[in-house]
Amino acid sequence: MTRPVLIVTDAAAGVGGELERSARSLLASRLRPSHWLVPGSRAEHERITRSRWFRTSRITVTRGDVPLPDDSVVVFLRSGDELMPDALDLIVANIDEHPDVGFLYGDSIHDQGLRFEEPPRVLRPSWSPERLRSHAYVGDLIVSTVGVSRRAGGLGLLATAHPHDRALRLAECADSHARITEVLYRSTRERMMPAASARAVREHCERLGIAAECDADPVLPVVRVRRRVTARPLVSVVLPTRGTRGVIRDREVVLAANALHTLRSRGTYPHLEIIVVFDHDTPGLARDEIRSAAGDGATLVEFDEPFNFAKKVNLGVVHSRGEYVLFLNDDTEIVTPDAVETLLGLLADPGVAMAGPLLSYPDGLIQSAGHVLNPVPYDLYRHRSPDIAGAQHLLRVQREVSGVIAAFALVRRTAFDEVGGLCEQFPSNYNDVDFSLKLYDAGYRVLWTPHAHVQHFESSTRSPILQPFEVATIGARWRDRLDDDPFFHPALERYLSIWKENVTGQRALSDALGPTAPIASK
Amino acid sequence: MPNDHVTEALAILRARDAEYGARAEARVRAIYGDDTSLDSYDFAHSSQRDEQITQRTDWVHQGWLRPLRFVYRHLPKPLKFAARRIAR
Repeated sequence: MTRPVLIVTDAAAGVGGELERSARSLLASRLRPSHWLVPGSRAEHERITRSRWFRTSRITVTRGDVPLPDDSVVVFLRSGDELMPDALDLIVANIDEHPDVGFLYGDSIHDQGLRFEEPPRVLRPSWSPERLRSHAYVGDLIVSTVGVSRRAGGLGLLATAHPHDRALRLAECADSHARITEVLYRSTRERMMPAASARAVREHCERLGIAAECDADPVLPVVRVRRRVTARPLVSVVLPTRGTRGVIRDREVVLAANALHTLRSRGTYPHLEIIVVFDHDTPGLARDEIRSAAGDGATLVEFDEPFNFAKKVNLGVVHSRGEYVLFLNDDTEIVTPDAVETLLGLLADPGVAMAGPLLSYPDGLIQSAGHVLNPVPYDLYRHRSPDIAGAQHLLRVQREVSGVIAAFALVRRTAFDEVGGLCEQFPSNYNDVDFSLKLYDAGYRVLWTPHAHVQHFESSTRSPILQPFEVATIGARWRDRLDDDPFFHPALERYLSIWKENVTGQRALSDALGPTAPIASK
Repeated sequence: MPNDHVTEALAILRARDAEYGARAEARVRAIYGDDTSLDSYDFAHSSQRDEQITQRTDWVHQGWLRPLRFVYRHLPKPLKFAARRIAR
């Protein structure tokens, strides 16, 4: 038997003609909904809901509570948005296949495209709870069930709530979350960017017992959630090096000493344990400089084998005592003083095993905003200006990613041990990609944040050449993940480092880069 | 830290990694069979910034297509729409 499908639209939120657009889309839907709940409808709306089309459509229109079984499908549709003709088919098929899903969302298109261009389409990544705290990236159309909606406060409350509030409430009560990689609704161009409400996020954190400060960004509609880190756990900094010298700001320095010096002098986190793993052939002078920069109590471990970054990190970690491990490359320099605290805050969520910052090149361009597998591992927005906000403001929100660069990443020690550390079969490249995917396999999440910023003079200390055996190993282990990254979208252009829809034309590129807005926290 | 403890701890890490690796490889083999090669994937051969692709030219914007694009742009509307219908 087909499940009853209830559409919920807050008529009061729309202005003349908008509800009619939504109504027409319901009538054009291939699978007709059984009920349409329209709280806040006025006489002008009743002209639509009592029209002959509706009277003959077998859609029951109501303004009050609807007695439906808990497993009935509820679709929250904003007044003025139009449901695509096959959207309900897709939704019901998905819920029939995964009955435990209580929160479902999909893509949307916005207005007509320009001449010879497709209409702008918002492509959404898979379920990202941390990102949802920053903004309603799931869009305005959310699918749930009557049971979940009741637990989340009832249909009446949800129908009139702010879209961000509604999404957070429903997400909290759903056992399982999913996305459909198809267009489910059409909206206006103005609704293209996700909404955000700091108040909704504050209430959400209170309900879940998350101790955090939630501040709205002064420029963009995004919320920054800063978890309060009351304890000061020991963070073990593991830095592999061979004492390479490099020129930074016209001054020749030992890179490792510079990385440690800036971490200790510029950074504000006090409880650090430093472990330096240096190659046997590291010059004595460089060793002295590193020892001096690492300070008293640092552990220096000698590594007497051919270059293997993964092995050196593992060796450093087994010498550490900290609850958290900070992977630190010697060619990095901390920029935001509270970078370690910011990453620690993200790891306060027990489901998160690793977090990484925004990495940039010395000339200011982005080096990495997290990994994306499309299908080869790329760093998102590499070589792009840090002034752009990215598609759907993704460069301004902390969010789930498939991985982060191990040049500067904070890892939960128990998770590191659980997955066996970095794989030594990747001496130079992809050890971080493999490590992140192992963490996901173990049920953890990996986060990236724009609120911690580190400079990376990438590959100053090692050969950048990709080894064929590293490619073969990553393929043997993770080809399925490379082909289907949950934080990518099948309709995006592959082999690109930006979130760009796979269509021709300038519009897709400008949507991918997003508006220009500086990071407020900097 | 005594060397034995370090060797033992590293061996445990290696064993855990092998376990995760074997599970992942089995899953990949179940999907793709024995061919897990990524030869058809377009890997940049170096991770150095200048060698990484950041933006590709759409095929339609390739230089040699410019005259064809010009002709298409100036086709009478019915012909242009017919061409688009066929292309779809």
